[in-house]
Amino acid sequence: MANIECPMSGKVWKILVKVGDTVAEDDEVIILEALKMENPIYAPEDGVVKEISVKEGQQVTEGDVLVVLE
Amino acid sequence: MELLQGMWTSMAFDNLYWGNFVMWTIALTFVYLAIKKGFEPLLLLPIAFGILLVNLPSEIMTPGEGLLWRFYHYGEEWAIIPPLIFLGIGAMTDFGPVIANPKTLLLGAGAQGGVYVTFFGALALGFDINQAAVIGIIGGADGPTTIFLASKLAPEMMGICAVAAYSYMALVPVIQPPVMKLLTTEAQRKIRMKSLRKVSKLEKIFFPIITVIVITLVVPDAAALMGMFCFGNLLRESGVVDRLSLTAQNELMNIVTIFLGISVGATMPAEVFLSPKVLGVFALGSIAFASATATGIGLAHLMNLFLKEKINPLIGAAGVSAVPMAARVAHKVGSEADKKNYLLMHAMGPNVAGVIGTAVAAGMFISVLK
Amino acid sequence: MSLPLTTFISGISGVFIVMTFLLIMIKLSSKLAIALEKKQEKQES
Repeated sequence: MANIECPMSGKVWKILVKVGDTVAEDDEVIILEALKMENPIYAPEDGVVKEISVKEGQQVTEGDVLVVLE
Repeated sequence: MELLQGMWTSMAFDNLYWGNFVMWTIALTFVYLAIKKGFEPLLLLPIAFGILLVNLPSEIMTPGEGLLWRFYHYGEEWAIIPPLIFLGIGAMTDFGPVIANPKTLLLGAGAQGGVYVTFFGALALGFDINQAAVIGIIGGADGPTTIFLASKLAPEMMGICAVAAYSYMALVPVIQPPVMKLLTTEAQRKIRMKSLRKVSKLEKIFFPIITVIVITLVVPDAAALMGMFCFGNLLRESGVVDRLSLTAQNELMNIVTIFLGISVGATMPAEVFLSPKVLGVFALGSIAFASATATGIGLAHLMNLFLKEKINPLIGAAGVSAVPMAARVAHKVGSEADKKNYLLMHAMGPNVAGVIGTAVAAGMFISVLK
Repeated sequence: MSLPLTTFISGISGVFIVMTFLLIMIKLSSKLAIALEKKQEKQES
């Protein structure tokens, strides 16, 4: 079980997973837009997506939980 | 027959020489680069059109008469437009990363080393000292500051140095990474930095006030640039004058950019532009960017000798103040070494500090040389 | 000392003096700002 936290403030641009998806370590989970740059956020470990806490287009800041894995 | 001859002389063909055609080609190349390649189009396109206009025989740049001369005289010779652009940049810039980690101010200073490397390079190539200062400041990667300094010290260098600064800024993602990789090890590039603390609103309001006082007291010659810069930032952070802040960063910025671009372009008639010195400026410009990257990284290494919590030396390269390109490059090179390393916000610190650093360096040049 | 050298030394030291001074002042002003805000919060509660 792990939370994927937002590493820097920006806007959620694309969510690449759905609840129930299995992800492996280093899979791209979300693409964050910051300073007009697309930044992929990677899964910290293997797991299943339990919850997605953000919507596309939402502003997020550092430390916000983006996705919950289990 | 006489009628035709009269018409011919009233037309302008006679006044063209081969140099004008070369300048047309250069102008059209810039138009192409701006439109097709997206090289700083907001500036390069007006500059290119200015070059085209001034290389058509007309009185558009005649002192005291021509339209573009008036733009140039009141906007740049009087040094009004660059500070207005700084007003806009101040209103656009979030100093949060600097306030959260003020050490990055030193990195913004470190990258100014490139300015002086280039300054001596230009002297060695036979430029006079005022021209060398303007060429050196290209290494700060800051267009308005370059134009500001040129207007004070060497107006004849303004056009070419502005073009060199803006074109190399577009090339930051090409020039910087090789230097950065050369000067850091894989392990150093992988250094992750602790996430930045949250910065309160009051801290952000204090910042521009403190900054303008400190800088103006130490370097009075940077007052025009930094005064407007801090004023713009206060408009932004105060939160009560959104209309002024938005005008400074959008409408006003766009308006002055139009006048700036086209009149800077107009300082480049063929007689001035087509000299071997121009090649020298362009060669020195690339040295300026590369050496600024190198001194920024060097200072980061130096600071790491004393710091308990190591900084990633890549963010030193972001002291080159091309905002936010240099920060993006630092982030990108860092994420190539470790894809879960997010340096972007950390690199914004030195990046915006670099803007201040370059303005201060320009102020120091003016105080010594003027 | 020659003019280029004077320019260089005064320039680079000027930049570093400004930045060091600024660094100290920013740290102090941050402390002040945070203290002020805490005080305000206390008064409100």
